[in-house]
Amino acid sequence: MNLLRSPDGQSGLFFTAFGLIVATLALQYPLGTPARMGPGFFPFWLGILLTVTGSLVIVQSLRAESERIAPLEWRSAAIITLAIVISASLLLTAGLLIAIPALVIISAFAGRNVKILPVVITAAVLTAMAYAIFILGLDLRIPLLWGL
Amino acid sequence: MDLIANPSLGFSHALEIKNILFCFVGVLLGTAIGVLPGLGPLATISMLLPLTYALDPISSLIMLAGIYYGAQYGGSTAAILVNLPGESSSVVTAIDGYKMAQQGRAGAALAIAALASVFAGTVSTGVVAAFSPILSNVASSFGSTEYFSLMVLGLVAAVILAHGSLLKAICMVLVGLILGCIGVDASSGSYRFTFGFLELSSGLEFVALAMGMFAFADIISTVAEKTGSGPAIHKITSLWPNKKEFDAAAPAAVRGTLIGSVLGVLPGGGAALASFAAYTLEKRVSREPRKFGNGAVEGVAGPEAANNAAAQTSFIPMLTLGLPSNGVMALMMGAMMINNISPGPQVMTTNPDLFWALIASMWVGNVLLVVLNLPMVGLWVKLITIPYKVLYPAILMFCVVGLYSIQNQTFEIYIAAIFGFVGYLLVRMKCEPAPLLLGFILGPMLEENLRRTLQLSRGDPWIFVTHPISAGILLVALALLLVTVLPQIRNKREEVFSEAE
Repeated sequence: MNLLRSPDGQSGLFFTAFGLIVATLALQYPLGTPARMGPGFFPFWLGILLTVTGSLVIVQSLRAESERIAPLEWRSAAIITLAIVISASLLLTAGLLIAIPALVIISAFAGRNVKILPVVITAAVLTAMAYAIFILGLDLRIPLLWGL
Repeated sequence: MDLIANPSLGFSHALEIKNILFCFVGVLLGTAIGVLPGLGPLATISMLLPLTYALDPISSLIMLAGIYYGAQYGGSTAAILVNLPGESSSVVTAIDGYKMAQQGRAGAALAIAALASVFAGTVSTGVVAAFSPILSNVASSFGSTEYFSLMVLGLVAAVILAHGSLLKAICMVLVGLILGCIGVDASSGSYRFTFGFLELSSGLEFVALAMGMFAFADIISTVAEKTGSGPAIHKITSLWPNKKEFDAAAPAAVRGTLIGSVLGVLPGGGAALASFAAYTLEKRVSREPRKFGNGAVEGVAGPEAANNAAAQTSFIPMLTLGLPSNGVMALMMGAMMINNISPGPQVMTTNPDLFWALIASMWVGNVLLVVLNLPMVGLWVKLITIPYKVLYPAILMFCVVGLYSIQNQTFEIYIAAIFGFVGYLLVRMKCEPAPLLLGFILGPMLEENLRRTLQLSRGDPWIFVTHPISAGILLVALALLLVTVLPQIRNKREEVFSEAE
């Protein structure tokens, strides 16, 4: 299918689906009338508009000879997102001094040619920077190490 | 009277030690990230947005603005010395600037770029000071009907300035407007799209959205390819241009300033477009067009003046009408809203100190930049050698802790992580994130003004066309859309964008 391989086709499908979902979800709120707009009015019509423009994008992608979409960098996407989520969950439980090294070390594996020593040094320097800037400098209330 | 009183009010704030310091920090950071190819003003400003919760609005806006125009300077340094334009606005500077560097005139090219920029900065600061009050006076008589139309115009502008397909940009604006609906509905008090998360009741956090879409998404899409190999850096010998170079550069800088000031104000204009237009103009008016591409001084002075002038005049629609003309302006509006200042024509009357201080600081910042840039060129060049491997974990670190600091909770970090992933998918589908952000910012105001207008007209939508000012604004929006869709102009636009890429 050409539709799934081009940037236009994929985004058109995404926008159409997203618009339909939003319009459906907006129906759970009162729509009201134009003169007295309810909380569902604006999002409902936005959803409909998005569905319409999204379908136009699909139509456009079928008519034009479109390029192939770039390969999905699933490795970078997964590792970076994971690094952020893990450090967020460590920030309040294990503390800043664990969360920042975890963030730096995990995210390092998204790059090519990872070498352990430079990564460890980067992690140490950035953790020291985070401590100096956010704890000493800006006096943020973040647990350092297991609630210390 | 006002013409003198207002700027002097601005300077009295901009020249406070504290604000000079923030201006300095802003232009310093801006120059640094302008030099670094891996980091642009959008990501940096989103990274620093949490700080604006802690600072007072004047200082934070002065700093953020400094980052924006500082980046134009830094971008040209990297373009001239290593042929690596740090910013899209300095792509054309690289053409002749790098050639000059190869011919041993690197110092002269840098000096001309800096002098042209500071000249343009000074003139365009005057333009901002002169034209903003006029526009804001006109707009202050607007009611909800006119406001709604004005915002539609702003969104249309956002669509036009996006690269690539117009339809996709419209979709992105709509997605942004939809995301803006999240939270408690202002008029009925009911929770919309919060899915049971109390943290979402005051709406989606703007900083989390901006960081996700600009900083995280950008890292994901570029981290694999950016394995840094050291570029060749040209030595700087004499820093001063000779008389012949100076004479050729001066008129080019004046023309660049003019074209940049005009293109910056137009919705959809901006620094990148201005520098390209200035380069084309210089080539046209030159008696020896063949010089261009082989180290023409005019090819450095014109575009550099233009991109700096445009960077500054693009503040005019944001400050006077509440219409952001590009992604950076959207972030600046977000910073104002974080400080409970709603952008629009009333800013000038309700916060005159902020308004004039920001304008005065632009001039202060330009002077700081010259003082900072020329003697420290060697240091900036060293920055280019910082590998991306070290840079992106640092960006992640600042973002994660910054997101936490907004509310002292980790919820915003998760939100940003989600938008980082979604933002990457959107970029991969060739959808620009900036229109989405503009939609998100204007969404709540658009809904409120639509509600008020329709309440007054008892549900009759024709009110937008029967009110003359509103009809005029909508007509401009329609004309802009039609003009962009017309084939000849569309081809020209694609050409401009692809060369500015």
